Amino acid sequence: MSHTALQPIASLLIRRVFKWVILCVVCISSLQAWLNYRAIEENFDMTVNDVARAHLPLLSVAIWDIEPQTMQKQIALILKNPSIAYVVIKANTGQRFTGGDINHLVSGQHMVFDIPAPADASTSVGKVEFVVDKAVLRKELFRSFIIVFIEVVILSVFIFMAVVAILRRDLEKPMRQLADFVKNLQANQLSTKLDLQRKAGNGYNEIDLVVDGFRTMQDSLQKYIAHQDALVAERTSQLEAAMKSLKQLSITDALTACYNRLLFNERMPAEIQRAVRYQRHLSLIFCDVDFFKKVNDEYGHAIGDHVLLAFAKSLAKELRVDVDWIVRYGGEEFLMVLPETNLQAALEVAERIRRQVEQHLFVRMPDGTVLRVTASFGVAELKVTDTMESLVQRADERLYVAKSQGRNQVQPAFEAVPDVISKPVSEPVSQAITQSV
Amino acid sequence: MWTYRLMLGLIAGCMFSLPATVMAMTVTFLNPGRSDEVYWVTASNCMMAAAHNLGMQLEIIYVERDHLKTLELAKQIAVRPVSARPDYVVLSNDYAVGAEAMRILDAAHIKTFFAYSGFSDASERDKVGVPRQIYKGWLGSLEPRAGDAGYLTARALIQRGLAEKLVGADGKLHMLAIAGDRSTTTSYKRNEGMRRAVAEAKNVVIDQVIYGDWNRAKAQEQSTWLYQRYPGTRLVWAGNDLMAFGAMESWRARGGKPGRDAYFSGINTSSEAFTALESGSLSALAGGHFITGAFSLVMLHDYHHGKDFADEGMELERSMFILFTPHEARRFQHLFGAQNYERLDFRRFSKALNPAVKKYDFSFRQLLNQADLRK
Repeated sequence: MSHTALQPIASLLIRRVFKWVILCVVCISSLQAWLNYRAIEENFDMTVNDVARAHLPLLSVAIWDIEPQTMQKQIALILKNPSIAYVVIKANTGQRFTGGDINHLVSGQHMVFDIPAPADASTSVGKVEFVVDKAVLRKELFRSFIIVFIEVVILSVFIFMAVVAILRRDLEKPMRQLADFVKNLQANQLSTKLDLQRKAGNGYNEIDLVVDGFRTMQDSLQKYIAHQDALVAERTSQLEAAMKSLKQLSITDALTACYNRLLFNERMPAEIQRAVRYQRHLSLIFCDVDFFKKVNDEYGHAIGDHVLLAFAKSLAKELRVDVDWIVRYGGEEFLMVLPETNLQAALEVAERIRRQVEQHLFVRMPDGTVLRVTASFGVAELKVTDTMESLVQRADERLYVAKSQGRNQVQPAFEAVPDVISKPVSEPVSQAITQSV
Repeated sequence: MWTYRLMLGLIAGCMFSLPATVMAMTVTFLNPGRSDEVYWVTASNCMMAAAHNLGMQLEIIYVERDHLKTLELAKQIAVRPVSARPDYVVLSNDYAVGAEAMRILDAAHIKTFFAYSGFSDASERDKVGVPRQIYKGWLGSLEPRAGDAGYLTARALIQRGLAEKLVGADGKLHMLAIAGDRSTTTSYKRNEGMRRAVAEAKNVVIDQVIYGDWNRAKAQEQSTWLYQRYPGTRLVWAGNDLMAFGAMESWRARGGKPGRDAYFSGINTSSEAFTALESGSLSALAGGHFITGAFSLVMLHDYHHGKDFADEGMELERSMFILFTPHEARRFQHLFGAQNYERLDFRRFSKALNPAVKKYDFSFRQLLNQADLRK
C-alpha cells in the first residue's frame, strides 16, 4: 500500500476558488475604482467650473468696487472647496490676491478664468486662477478602491465559507465515514449496514449514489458467500460419506461383511488390554470351513463365495450382537472374539455354531443339488501372559488339532481336560454333498 | 472706556452748570462716533460749550461706532433711578438703531431728540411715524442738509477742473468719486448732492463711484486701482476729508502732486483739512455741520423753557455746511483750532431768550462770521 499524502478535494477546490476569488477581487476592484475615478474626474472639472461660475460675478463686483476685504473673503470661500488648493486673483490694474497652500502652486493643475466687468461682460477686470489639488482626486480614487475592495472581499469570504461548509458537510465528512467504514469492515461482518451520519434535509446527491452502490455490492457479495457456504457443506457431507464408506471398506471383508484382519490387528490389542486391566474373561474362537479348497476346486469360486457368505451368516447368528465380533482372518478362516466370555462359555458357543453349520448350512447349487459343509473350531481363553499373537496362536493350534482329529469339531485350548467336548466325527465332504436334497 | 468718558462728561456738566439754575435741565448725548474721531470730538466739544452757554447739564457717552451698544446704553439709561435720569436724550440714527433706542427710552418716559441723522428710510418711517405721535417723547430732529456738502464740494471741483482745462478726448470732464458707505443716510445724501452738481454741469461724467467706508487707508488702496483703471482722470471727489487724504497719498505715491496735476475735494473741518486747503493740495472743502448737536441743544432749551419749536416744524433740516474759502479756513483755525468753542454765543439763537427771533438761522457761516464773539 503506497503512503501518498492525502490531498482532499475540498482543500484543492478551496485553493483553486481562493486563487480565482483573489484574482476577481483585484480585477473587479481595479475596474470599479477606475470607473469611479473617471466619473470623479469628470465631476471634479465640473465642480471646479461650477465654483468659478458661482464666484466670478461676486469677484467681478468686488474688483470693480475695489473691495480687497471682499476679495479675501471670496478666496476663503473658494478654498472651502477641497479640490482647490490655491487661488490667485489678478486685477487688470496689477493687484494680486492669493490664498491657500502655496506648495501646490507648482505641482497642481492650473485653471484660469477671466473675470468679466459687472456692467460689460465683454471687458475683463482681471483673472482668477485656481490651482487644483489632484491629491483630493487620488484620495477619492483610493477611497473608492478600498470600498469596492472591501465589498468584494466580504462577498468572496461569504462565498468561500459557504463552499467550505458545503464541501465539509456534504463531501469530506461522508467520504471519510465511508472510507473508515470500508477500512474496518470485517469479512464476517459483511452484512453490517453502512449508516452515514448526515444531516436530514439534504437532497439525494452523489454521496447517496455511492452509498447505495456500496449497499448493492454488499448484498450481492453476501448472496455469493452464502451460496459458496452451502456448496462447501454439500461437498463436505459428500466427502464425509465417501470417507465413511472408505473406512468401512478398509476394515470390512468385501464378501462376507465381516471385519478383516486389518481391523483385528488394530482392535484386538485394545480388547486384550481392557480384559487384562479389568480381569475379565476374553475368549477367541478360530474356525475354518472344512475342505473348502475342495469346494472351490470342484464347484468354482462363485460357489465358494456363496459358501463363505452362508458360513459367515451362520457365525453371526449365534453371537451376541454388538458385543462379539467376527473377523475373516484369511481365506476360509474366521476369528470370533467373545469378550466377557470364559473358555467354557466359548466352547458352548463354538459347539452351537458347529451344530448350526452342520445341520442348517447348505448352499443350493445351480443344478438343484445342495451342498453341505462342516467347520472346525479352536477355542482359547485369554491368559494374563497372553499377547494377541500367542492367543491367536493357541486358538490356531486348537483348530489344527480339531482339523487333525477329524474336523467338524471343537477343540479347547487347555491341557487339563483335553478333548472334553471334542467329537471325533469325521465325514468326507463328498458324503455331505450327497446328503443334500 | 466709555464709562470713564461718561464720568468726565458728568463732571464737566456739573462744573459748567453750577452758576446756572440749581435745577438745570439735563441732557444725555449718545455720540455714535469714536472718542478719538476728530469730527465727533469736535461735535461733542461744541455741544458742551453750548450746554454751558445755555445753562444745561450735558452728559456725553460715546458709542464708539459699535451700533448695538447704542441699544445697550439706552437700556442702561432707562433703568436708572428717576433722579439720575436725564430730561432729554439726544440720539443719532446711524445704522438704523435709532428707532429701537427711542422705543426703549420712550417706554421709560425719557424724551428723545435726533441730531445729525433722522429717519429717511421709508420702512423705518412706517415704524416710527412722526414725532410726538407713536412715541410721545420723541420731540423732533435736526439734520444738516447733507446733500449740500456733496453738492458744494463737487461743484467747486468741477469749476476747478474746467478752469484747469481738464476736458478729456471725449470733450468731457472725468471725475472719480470715493463715497462713504452704502447704508447711511448721510452718505447717500452727500452722494446725491455730488450727482446733482454733476448733472448741472452737463459735460461731466463720473467714471466710477466706489465706497471707501470713510476710511483713509481703504481709500488710498482703492484710489491706486482707480488711477490705473482711469489713467486720464484728474478730479477726485471724496465723501469726507480722510478719504480725500488717502486718495491724495496714493496720488503722491504715483509721483503726482495734488492741487497741481490732480484735484481733490473733501468734507469736514479737521485741522489737517484746513491746512491742506490753505496749501492748495485740497481744492475744495465743505464743513460746519458738527454744529448740529449744539443747535439741537438750543432747540431743546427753547422747548424746555416753554418755547416749542413745533410751530417751525418738528423735523428740521437746515443747511449748515459752508464751502470754506482759504480765508474762512484760516479764521476757523484761528477761532477753534484749540477745540475751544466757549467763545461762541449760542444764546442769541434761542427764541426763548430772544423773542425777536422768529425763525432759527443755523448757518455755520453765521457763527463763523459772528462779529460779537464773546470775549
